[in-house]
Amino acid sequence: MNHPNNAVTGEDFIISRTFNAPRDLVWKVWTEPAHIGKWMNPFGGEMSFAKMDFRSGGMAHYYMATPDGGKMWGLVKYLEIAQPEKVVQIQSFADAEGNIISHPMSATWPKEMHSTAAFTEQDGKTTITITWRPYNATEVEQQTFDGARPGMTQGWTGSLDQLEVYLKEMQA
Amino acid sequence: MIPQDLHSDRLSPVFAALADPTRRAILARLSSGEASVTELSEPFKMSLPAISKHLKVLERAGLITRGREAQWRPCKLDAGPLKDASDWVEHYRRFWEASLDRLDDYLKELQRKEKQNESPQ
Repeated sequence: MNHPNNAVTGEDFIISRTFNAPRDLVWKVWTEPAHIGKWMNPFGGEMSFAKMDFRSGGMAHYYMATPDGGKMWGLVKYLEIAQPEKVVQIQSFADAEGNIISHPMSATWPKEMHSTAAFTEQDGKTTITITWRPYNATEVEQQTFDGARPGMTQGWTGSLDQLEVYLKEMQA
Repeated sequence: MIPQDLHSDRLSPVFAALADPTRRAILARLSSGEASVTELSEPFKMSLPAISKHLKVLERAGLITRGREAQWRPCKLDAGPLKDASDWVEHYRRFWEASLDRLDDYLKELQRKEKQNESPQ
């Protein structure tokens, strides 16, 4: 799958997608728990909220069922909700009690990520742009993010394609 | 998509090593073949000790190996950890892309239902 509008600018990691639906509907589906549970789990399984307080200053505690039968818990603190333009939040992995934990796959990945979802509408289509950056990161966490970020879109070497070719050969 | 495996300890030094543009450039140079420290230092206007420091970081992360036999101890890229790091980032991205794919499907489904309800029986 290729989404050419995904790019890294400055210090953030960005994903953007345009949906063939009006912004009011996209907003509703993005922010109401009953709807969120229908699409947000990337594994396609269950997603359920233990707590959901959708307002600026509020928080959410939820889990997603994983294919191995486990539960992946997450915690969101809502910093700013400006209907229907944007949601600004702090996103973390969590345990079932709601304590923030490290990323399951990288102990030094930033534990808290500042994430902004911006909604714009044009000709009945809605574009969501999600921007991530580390929040309250330790030096090691920031370093981990800085090391991973170039790989998120263009490979670690930028314009130097040889390494990409080499990696492809490795994976062949 | 998120295996609870051993990546954590191994990947942290790799990401730390990749955070520096000089080290990324060294890796790119090594992807076209082995090179000595002197050869690697040429494009950078850096002292040999400075380059050696970067090489040590890369070596500790497992991204390069240094030859033992030859006197000039050539540096060689080991792409294994780089592939792990690349896979990890790919997981992170794919995680969100998968959610957005599902959102797209869900929006289509909702709008289809809406239309059905509007049309006369």
